[in-house]
Amino acid sequence: MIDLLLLSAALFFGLLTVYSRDNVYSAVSLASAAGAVGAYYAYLAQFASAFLIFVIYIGAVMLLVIITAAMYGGVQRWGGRYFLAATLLFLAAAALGALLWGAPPAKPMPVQLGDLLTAVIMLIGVAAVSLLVSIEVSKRT
Amino acid sequence: MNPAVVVGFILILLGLYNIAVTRNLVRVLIALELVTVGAFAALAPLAANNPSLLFYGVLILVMISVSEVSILAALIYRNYTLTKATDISAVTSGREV
Repeated sequence: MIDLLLLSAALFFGLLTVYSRDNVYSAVSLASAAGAVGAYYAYLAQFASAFLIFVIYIGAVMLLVIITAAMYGGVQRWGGRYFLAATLLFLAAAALGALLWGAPPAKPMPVQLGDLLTAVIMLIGVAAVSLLVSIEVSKRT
Repeated sequence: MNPAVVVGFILILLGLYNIAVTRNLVRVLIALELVTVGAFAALAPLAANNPSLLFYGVLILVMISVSEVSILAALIYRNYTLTKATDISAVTSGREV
């Protein structure tokens, strides 16, 4: 339950990253998505990897990204709307967390990898999509 | 299929889409990091089989993202100091001024 919640939070903030107009809010949403993924790692009891993601990735890389976005052309529009949405989301997450805290603890499901063929097909799919995207971009410019 | 792999794949596709549609170098930087976050999420199911391999995968991804972020930040800084813009179309054949 919590893992699906964390993954959906990562997906939501990823969508917010792409479809936010302002660079600063986009960078902050990206940091939130990375934080959700790091929390998912911590849920899987991979604390060394979660430490790497939280401290090194968010602490150094995301800091550089946010500072770069703030220095060069954040439009600073829709600040109140973004703040309202973030506050509502945080309240909903807090309520859901309190609800889950009171629920009886369930055993976390073991995550299995499946076979290697799926990962290879995924990699080839990503390579093909990136090739298509690069062809389209080079055609346009 | 594992939901983490699906979410990571969707995040990678979103990042590629954002790279394709934007002309702003800062958005390219953010979208590249979104692709890295998607790779983190897609790497997570390795925790069941081989946690040490997962740790080294995360370490390598962090090092890759640090290098690409430093390169893109330097590119943005150079482009901004030369052309006072962060648009890709301001970069023309290496000579901006």
